[in-house]
Amino acid sequence: MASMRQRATGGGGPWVLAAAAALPLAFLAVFFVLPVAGMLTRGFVTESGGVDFGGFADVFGRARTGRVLWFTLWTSAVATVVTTAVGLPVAYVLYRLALPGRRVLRAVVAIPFVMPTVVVGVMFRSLLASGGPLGWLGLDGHWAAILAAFVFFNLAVVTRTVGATWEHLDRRAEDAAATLGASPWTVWRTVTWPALAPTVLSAASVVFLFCSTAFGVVLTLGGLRYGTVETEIYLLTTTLLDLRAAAVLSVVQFGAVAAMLAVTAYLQQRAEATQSRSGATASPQPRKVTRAAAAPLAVAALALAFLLGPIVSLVVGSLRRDGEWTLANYTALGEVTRANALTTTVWNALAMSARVAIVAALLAVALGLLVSVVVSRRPPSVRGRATLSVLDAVFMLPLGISAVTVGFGFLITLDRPPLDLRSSVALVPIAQAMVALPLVVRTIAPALRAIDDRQRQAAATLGATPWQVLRVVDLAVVRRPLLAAIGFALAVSLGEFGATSFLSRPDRPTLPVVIYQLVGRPGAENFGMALAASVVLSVLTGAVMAGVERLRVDSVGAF
Amino acid sequence: MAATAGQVGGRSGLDVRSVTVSFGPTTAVDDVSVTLQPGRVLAVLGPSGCGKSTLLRAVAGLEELAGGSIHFDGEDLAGVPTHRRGFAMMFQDGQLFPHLDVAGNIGYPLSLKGIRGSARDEEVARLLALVDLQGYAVRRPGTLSGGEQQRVALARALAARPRLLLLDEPLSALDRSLRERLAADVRTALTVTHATAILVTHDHDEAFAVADDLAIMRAGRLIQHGTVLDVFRQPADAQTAQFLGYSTVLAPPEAERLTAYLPVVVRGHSVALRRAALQAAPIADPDYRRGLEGTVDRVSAARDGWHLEVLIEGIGRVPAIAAADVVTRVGDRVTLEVKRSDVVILGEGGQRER
Repeated sequence: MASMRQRATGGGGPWVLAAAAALPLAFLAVFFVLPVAGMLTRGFVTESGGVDFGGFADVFGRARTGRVLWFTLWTSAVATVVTTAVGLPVAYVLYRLALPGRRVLRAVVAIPFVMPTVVVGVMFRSLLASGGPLGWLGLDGHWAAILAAFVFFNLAVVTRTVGATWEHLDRRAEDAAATLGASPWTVWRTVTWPALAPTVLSAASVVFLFCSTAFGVVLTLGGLRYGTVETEIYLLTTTLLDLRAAAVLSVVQFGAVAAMLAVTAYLQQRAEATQSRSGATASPQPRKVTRAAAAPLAVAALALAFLLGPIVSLVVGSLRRDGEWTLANYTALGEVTRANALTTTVWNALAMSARVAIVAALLAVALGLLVSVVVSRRPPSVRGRATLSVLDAVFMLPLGISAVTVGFGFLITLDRPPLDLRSSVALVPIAQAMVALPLVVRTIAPALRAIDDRQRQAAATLGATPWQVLRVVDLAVVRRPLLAAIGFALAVSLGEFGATSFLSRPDRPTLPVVIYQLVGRPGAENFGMALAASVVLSVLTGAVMAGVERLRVDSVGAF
Repeated sequence: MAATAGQVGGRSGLDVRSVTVSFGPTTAVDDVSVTLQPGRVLAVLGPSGCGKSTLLRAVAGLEELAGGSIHFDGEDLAGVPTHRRGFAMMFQDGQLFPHLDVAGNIGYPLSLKGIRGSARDEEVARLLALVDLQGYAVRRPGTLSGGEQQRVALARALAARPRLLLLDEPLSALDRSLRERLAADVRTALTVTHATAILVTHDHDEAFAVADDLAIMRAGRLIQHGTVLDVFRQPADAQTAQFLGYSTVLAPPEAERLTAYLPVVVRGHSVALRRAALQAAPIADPDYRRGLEGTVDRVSAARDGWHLEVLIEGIGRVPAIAAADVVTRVGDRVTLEVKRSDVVILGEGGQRER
């Protein structure tokens, strides 16, 4: 039946699709596979041309490697468990209860997710540093700070993903159970949780993925004492110049990420399957706030305080210097002094960031739209479907591959003709587009997949040409997700740090790079400037995301 | 059935008193009072959006009351949560739990009561037989047809051994022939289990097939309440008559002209006609005694003969029937025989809202 449907619509034969896929694939090959491969070759091919995997034994023989791997694993696992445990009641409160102002609160929960990683790091430093409001805890440089930042960062993933599903769960299934004699706790255990579990597991797997590949947060908070695989790769490449060890760790991470992506994809598929069976398309039916919701409400209130605390602390910190309220930190943003030792002013860096982000966003959305059109097709043959699911997975790869690996790979592979881009300003937006591409696809493809093919058929029978069908049916549906994807890609590019830290030219740094430089310099003035610059960057990405939020596209930031 | 005897041993059944349910500014259920004795089935009939489902949900404890009270066997249910009321509800689309198989769904209320092992299996098998689904125990809800899903939902609701069974448009999602068959099965299952039940529906055939009592709702208000027979024979007003399947309601002047051919006097009342009230025949006999006449305006075949629409001077266009062997064409003059048994005089001795 599916094959008949597909044939009836005509437009978009296999050759057209292949052509549409060719451009993004070529882009992916040159700017992702090539640099990653180049990086790996450095590690495993000896100067005489032989292959040498001795690096594995060597690297795994080091005590430090074990520590780094163990630290990555356990912090990610603990952060995932805590984030999920806190995220569930928050999702319940914000998506299931008729709480006044819940739309605003949902946006508040989403803020951290789009905050640049470096800013999150700076924020927690400002909170926990010896002079900060929570300095007395003595957690500056402690692993607990990294853990807290992970939770801060990923709470939105759980809340938004689970919340979107929960909001549309048909509450009559719960009503039915209640009339059959199930107490509220039994209803949760036997009806709600089974319907929600696949989505929760899927969200948790994404959180684990993000935590285990986090870079900016760990680098700013962990210093040299705590390292994850990602920061270790950075350290090995830039400071220790031990490319072989870096390559080994990259391969390990690649394998782990590929496995996690497979698990995530499987869990997501399962989540989608259970949703369609349980009629997840029901319209939202928020429940009245009753005393029974006191516990989740309390958790949600604490979670919001936890999210807003660091943000408030950041803003307050940026407005203070030497114990007094002042705008000095902001006026300093226009200055290049011996103390801050910057190569350009913060405002110039901001302008650079904006230019780069616009190019990167357009690039990512153009490619992402092509990818989305291709992967959202439902080809008639089994082989066709298999090909598409492989393609889908391939374009998700940049989501998990160490941005550091990509960034450094750019440097060492794109440095000779025909592609000598090492000193080109184009490298940064290209790398950022690679990072944003999977997120763009995840925003646009679901909307395209949701189009009922019969709408296209209806348009065709009414006399619309294939192009008109595309315009009337597909474009109308995809317009908002497309705008949302542009905004999302902009926000991601503005905050991108991992790859950019390698690629931005010293005389033209982006704002996150400048913030990282400022944090690394001694002196309260520089730290104050870092806070002010972080506020500026956050306001910019926040404004972009507020615009995205107004489009009300569910797939943004939901995994 | 002894259970119909009424107030026996404190079993007084359901007593809904002046219940009002509001959603913000809109009043979904407006001051509705209705009673139901043990062992009887009440159908709440009304167009979609009339508040009948909300009334049912209020009885189940799923909606808050803005006013009034609900008692069962003399106990005020205010503050009794849904799961302690013992009123199982069956939904329009079944709401089977997708992660449980058929046996798991039917056994769900049994497990809640701590019934496990072979006792549970036996009860599930008994209920499956009751709804004629032997051998379906290990099937997944998603693999069942709509009718099968509703049978499972009914069995699950019955498994809870509810004091009161609440059926929310249980057959509305099914196609016509299946609906008719299943309505009879539902009635049998309710009779066999001596269930007390409320059925909410917008389909009068479904109500007639399943229920003993009928309550008509419109725009949140109770219009009429009585036995099925009483309400059907004597609808309270024109809208109710039309809703119950009467094909035409004539206003007083037209009604008077029509009933001039009946041995009753109708002054100032509307009349409701079933289609069979006017039997058409061609004017072929030259000795024909003059009576009610009209011109055929439309003819269509139906399973019980011809359905006509006839224009009658001074009355207007009315539906009529003709025997299957009669040949009529548009434009023919026909004579119309009025059958008293299919004419109801509205607002006269009818059981209006009490």
